[in-house]
Amino acid sequence: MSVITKIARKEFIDTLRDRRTVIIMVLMPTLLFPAIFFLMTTVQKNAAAKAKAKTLKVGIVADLHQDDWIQRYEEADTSITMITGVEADSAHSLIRSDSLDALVHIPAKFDEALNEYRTGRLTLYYQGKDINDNQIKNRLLRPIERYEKDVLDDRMDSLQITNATIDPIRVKESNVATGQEVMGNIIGGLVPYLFVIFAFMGSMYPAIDLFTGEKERSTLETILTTPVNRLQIFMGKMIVVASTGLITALLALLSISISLQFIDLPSQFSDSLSSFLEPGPVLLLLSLLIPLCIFFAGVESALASYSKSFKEAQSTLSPLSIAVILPAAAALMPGIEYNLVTALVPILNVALASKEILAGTVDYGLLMVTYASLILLAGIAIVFSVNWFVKESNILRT
Amino acid sequence: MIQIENLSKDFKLNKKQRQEMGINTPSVRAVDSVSFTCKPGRIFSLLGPNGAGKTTTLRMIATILQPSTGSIKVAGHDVVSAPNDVRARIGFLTGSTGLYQRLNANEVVKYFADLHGMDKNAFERRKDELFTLLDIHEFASKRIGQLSTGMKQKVSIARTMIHDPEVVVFDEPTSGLDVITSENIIRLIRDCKDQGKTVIFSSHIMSEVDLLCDDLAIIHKGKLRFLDTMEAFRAQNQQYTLTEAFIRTVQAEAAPVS
Repeated sequence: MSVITKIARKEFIDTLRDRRTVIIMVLMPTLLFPAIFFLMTTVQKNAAAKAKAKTLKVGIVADLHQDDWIQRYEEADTSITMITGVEADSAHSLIRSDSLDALVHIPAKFDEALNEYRTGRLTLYYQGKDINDNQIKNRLLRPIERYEKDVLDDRMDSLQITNATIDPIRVKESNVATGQEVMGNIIGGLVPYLFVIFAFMGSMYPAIDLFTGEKERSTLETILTTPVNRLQIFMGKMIVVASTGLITALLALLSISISLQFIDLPSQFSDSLSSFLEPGPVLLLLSLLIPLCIFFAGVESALASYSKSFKEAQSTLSPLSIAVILPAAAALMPGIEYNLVTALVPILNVALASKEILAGTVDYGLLMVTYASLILLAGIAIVFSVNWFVKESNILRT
Repeated sequence: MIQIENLSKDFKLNKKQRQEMGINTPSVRAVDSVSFTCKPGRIFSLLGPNGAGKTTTLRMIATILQPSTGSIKVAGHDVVSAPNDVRARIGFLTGSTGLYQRLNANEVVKYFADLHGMDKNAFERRKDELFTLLDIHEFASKRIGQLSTGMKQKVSIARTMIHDPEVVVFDEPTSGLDVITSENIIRLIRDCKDQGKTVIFSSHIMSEVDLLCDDLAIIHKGKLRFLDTMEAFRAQNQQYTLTEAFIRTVQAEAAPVS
């Protein structure tokens, strides 16, 4: 076993025994998505079911044909109770005090307008605060819409016109983009976020622990007096830092794909999802993730080895974890495409390439440019970090 | 053997440090033209007040820092041109135990044996020897974070001595330790001498130096103020206690020993 492997093995053991690292590296990515998805779908489903099943008290004020309106509502929705004998003027206060869920006011002019082939105007009072109130509003509109259709059919019959008369042009849309391409753009925009956030966050604490920690625990001097090349010590540590980032991002990806299996998705969504999870795209994504993690590990290790204490390292690296999301966010902006220039920009190139890979439209030439850019930057980060790591002024910076 | 010739170390200062120290020069000299030799089988003590340059000197011997001028040879190897040969032959111990809290004694000692490239048999033999000598066996599987200071110091000693170094560098090894724990270190230093190793240790405690040392160097503001045997020091200062003699030597305006 080479010295680098021995150092990496020791650092892995040390890192995996750190509760904070394990929580961020394993527990957070593994449990976060199932928890979010479960919570979102459960809450959403419950609220939607509640809104659908809720018995609604609807006040009705109709100057003419009030019984017809009551019948229309009760036929359309058995969970609606119509309340008569209320005043339209008090609609606001009745609804806001929860005495009524809604109120429909049909003035006398309404029938007059309909008879004269004009637009009849009625008022629907309701309280719309959140998305579930929309469902309630739709239930209240449904009987009105049915009635409108009947009136329209009558008018067309009496005027002897057909649907074609009022609908002279119809466009048949045919999108030649494949479902995978469309979904690739949507999901592909999210995958780089996961990569960037988890790869960076997952390796942040190990970087601080393995580099700044050596100073804080006064172990740096002892390892520097062993007959091991500084570069080997650094590489042994870097391997662990980059690997923790990789493991965290992979667990997040795995967790999100498993979680997606358990939520009801439209078939177009789920079909495209399964095509993303084929070995080809997954391997290509992994091949991007590895140099990205090395690049992150290089940057984090440099900053961590410069820092005097855990606290200083944390205050340097934490804001950076937000800054690294920005290039990933830029990939979602319209007009930013994967080309020779963007393929060179770190993080942005990974974000754009992931989108293209998931959409199945990646240009392999540009992908090579991205690999080269990431590997070069990772190399620069490593050289920079190693120099920093062994710099006398830095060793003494405690 | 440690041979030091005309050793100096300058530290560059940034603007903030210059302001804090009230100095206008771009650098400060921590060690100034120091020369001495530590012989095998003898204990060499580097004595001086805080900030005298003891730690900087020992760090240069241990290859952690590079000399600005002058040379250091450890067991015949130059610290600048052959640092790995030097590192293979030294053991370095400070007052802070410098251990990994989440590893146990077995793992820490194995890690340092690995870094020194020891083969498995030699490691097992040496570890068993040291663990028996230091009574580590009973807590060898406990994580360092759960050990008492005394236990940690024992593990630290085992970590320093696992590769059986011929030169041992102790930087204020008993600082912050109680009498019982310090006793382990004092025993270790004596054992090293008995085994014919070259031992250098820094301290600012005269009684400790009196107890152990064969050869003495007193250093102040980076310059050597005294260099001779402990016997000679005692003989020259018979009318004073050793602490008084130390203070007089440090405060003397006499030309430094070169």
